[in-house]
Amino acid sequence: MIQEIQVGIVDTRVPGDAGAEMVAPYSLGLTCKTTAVQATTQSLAVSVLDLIATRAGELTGSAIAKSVELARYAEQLGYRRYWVAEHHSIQGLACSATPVLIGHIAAVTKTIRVGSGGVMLPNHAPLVVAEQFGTLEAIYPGRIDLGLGRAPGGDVQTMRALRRGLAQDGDDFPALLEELRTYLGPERPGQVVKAIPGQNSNVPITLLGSSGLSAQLAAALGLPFAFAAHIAPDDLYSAAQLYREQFQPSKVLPKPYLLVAVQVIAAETDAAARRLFTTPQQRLLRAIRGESVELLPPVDSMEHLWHDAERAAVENRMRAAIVGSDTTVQGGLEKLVSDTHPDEVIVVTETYEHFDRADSYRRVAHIAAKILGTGDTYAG
Amino acid sequence: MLGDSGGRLRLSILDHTPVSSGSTLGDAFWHSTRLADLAEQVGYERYWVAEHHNMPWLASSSPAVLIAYVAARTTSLRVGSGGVMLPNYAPLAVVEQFGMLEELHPGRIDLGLGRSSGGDQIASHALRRTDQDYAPLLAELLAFFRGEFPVGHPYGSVTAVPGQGIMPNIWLLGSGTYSAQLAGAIGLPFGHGGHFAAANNVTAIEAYRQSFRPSPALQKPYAIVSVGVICAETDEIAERHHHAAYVSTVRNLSGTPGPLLSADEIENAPPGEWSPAQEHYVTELFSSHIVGSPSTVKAGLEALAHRTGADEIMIATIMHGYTDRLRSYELIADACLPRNSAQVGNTPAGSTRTAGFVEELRNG
Repeated sequence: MIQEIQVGIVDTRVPGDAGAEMVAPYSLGLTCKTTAVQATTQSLAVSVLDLIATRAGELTGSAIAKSVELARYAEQLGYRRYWVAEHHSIQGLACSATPVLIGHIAAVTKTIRVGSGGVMLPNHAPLVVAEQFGTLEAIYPGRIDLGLGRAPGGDVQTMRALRRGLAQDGDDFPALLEELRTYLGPERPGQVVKAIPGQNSNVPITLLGSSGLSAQLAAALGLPFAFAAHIAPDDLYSAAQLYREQFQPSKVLPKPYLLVAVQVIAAETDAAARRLFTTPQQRLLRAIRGESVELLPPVDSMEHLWHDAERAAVENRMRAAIVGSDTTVQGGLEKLVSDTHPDEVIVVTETYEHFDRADSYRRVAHIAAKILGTGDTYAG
Repeated sequence: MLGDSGGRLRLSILDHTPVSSGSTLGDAFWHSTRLADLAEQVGYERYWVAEHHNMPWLASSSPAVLIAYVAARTTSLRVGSGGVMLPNYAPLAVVEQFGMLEELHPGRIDLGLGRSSGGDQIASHALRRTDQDYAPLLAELLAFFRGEFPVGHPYGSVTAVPGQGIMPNIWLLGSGTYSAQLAGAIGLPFGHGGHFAAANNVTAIEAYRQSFRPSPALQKPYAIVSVGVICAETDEIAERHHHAAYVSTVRNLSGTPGPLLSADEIENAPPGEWSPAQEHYVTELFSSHIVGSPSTVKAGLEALAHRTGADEIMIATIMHGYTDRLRSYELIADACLPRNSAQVGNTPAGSTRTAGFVEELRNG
């Protein structure tokens, strides 16, 4: 069945809101012809992580308008979640005020889960995070995810500006998490401070990380664990194994639930996909050099852009990336599944052109539908 | 942005997102969007959300998230915070949030800033509230927006993305003369929290005007005064709603906090906890409210404008019942705002109201 998905004209009315108009008049003219995705409950579950990458000189509002279209498209393609990251003081990444972005994207979609990937908890007071996500959950019930990380999301000075000299650092993470869960769970006897909204909202929490340490914390607490292989693939296999081995069943999760985030670019041919991949390659190269990380157009070859050592560093950091034609990407995803048995793959796709990004997500949705997943779900 | 009102009474809305008994927090937020819709249709100048913590009868604790919701569901209304309590946050975080909102809704966002905590002492502690002085916090916030840290400042290398160069309209809010004089000294608009500190409204606005120095943002002083109002078809109905709100507030502050109760619930239920000290406080608080029929409220608002010289009156209506509350704001608009509000620029062409907004809501 061929259907035409016109992402810009999706009906965004809230159920019960008869007569409401579209909430955001964005239409970038993104029109993708596609066959309906034939996924089953046994298909590999896929989700989206968006860092709201911008081109040089591009307004944040423009980049977010593209993300809004992508979120609507991902919803139609059957992606389970649309997560936005938290980064600060990085020209080229417009994902600083994560709860505001989540609210905006949830307002223009209807069913896809929307969440953080993740909120960097030591940057915030746990009560503030609980109130923000409690508010989102009250407005968009059953659709909000709270992914939590412990990194600064920026450089040292930025971290100081955000943490205001508080003693909060990565080492406090377990205590901050416990405080946060107090505000999101049922009211405890004698509890003096309550998150309103937030208390007893039980917004589903996922712990994010790229090390064995974060895997062990998630395992000990019986929480889902999302491994950030898109930025730090080194410990993927060992962390996945540790998480499963040490997992303690909890009230929210009877058995381990592993999400693996990887970069993916799918295109018509291997060569076309590899060319698109030079955009994120250039960005990482420039990040290593301490240069601006705004999106650059793809190039035919990286050869004249990097030195051998830089090439080695970039390729090492990006070695989990899955890039190629549909066939190649299917092979890559199948290998990832057989190596780590994720319950869900979080797909991170960044290209210079909006259409290439949407097209890649379309291809990946079809590919994932053909791959056997675990069939498990967490929060939707 | 802020010009001469030409003698016309300018009205705006301060929404605490009150929670009514029998309703969910989600209901309360949904009704805030209905209220914002009304504001847009009938010509209120702006719609602001408050910040309060640990109060089960007020759902508005995360202004930036709520503004994102309301702004996404309206098209031209100015939406803002009244206010963000700056010492509760890192200035950079506030700049990122409101820079993001301004990017998403260009020219529609107000950032009103306050100094208090919006909660009790223990909630302040949980918020990791800073004890740093307010003026340096405000300076840090403005420097992030403007990208103007002095050379050598530790945050000179830090950029608010988004935020730098993307500044909403900034307002200083206060209940006394400190923020009034600060706003005047740096040429920002000022909002007086008269809905909880009515006794100071004349003094504070006078202090603001006397200290005002023109700035690139504002050539002449512009002052808002807020006030608690309940309006209904008759004085008696309005007084009954007001009494219910009064009893609910005393009970909530006396140790049994919960949603706001209706007049029927108040009249039929056994009395709850009742602290004389809170009764005294709430009696004084509520004595400044303007309560009654449209003509009573209109006279009260005009007297307030005359007494304070405020350029705009911001109406805070905290009461049980969403349709009654919407109706209160609608009656005030009908009595006080020009019938054809197109001149305000808030009503989209072709959407002139033909029936009562609340009636439409009731009829689904």
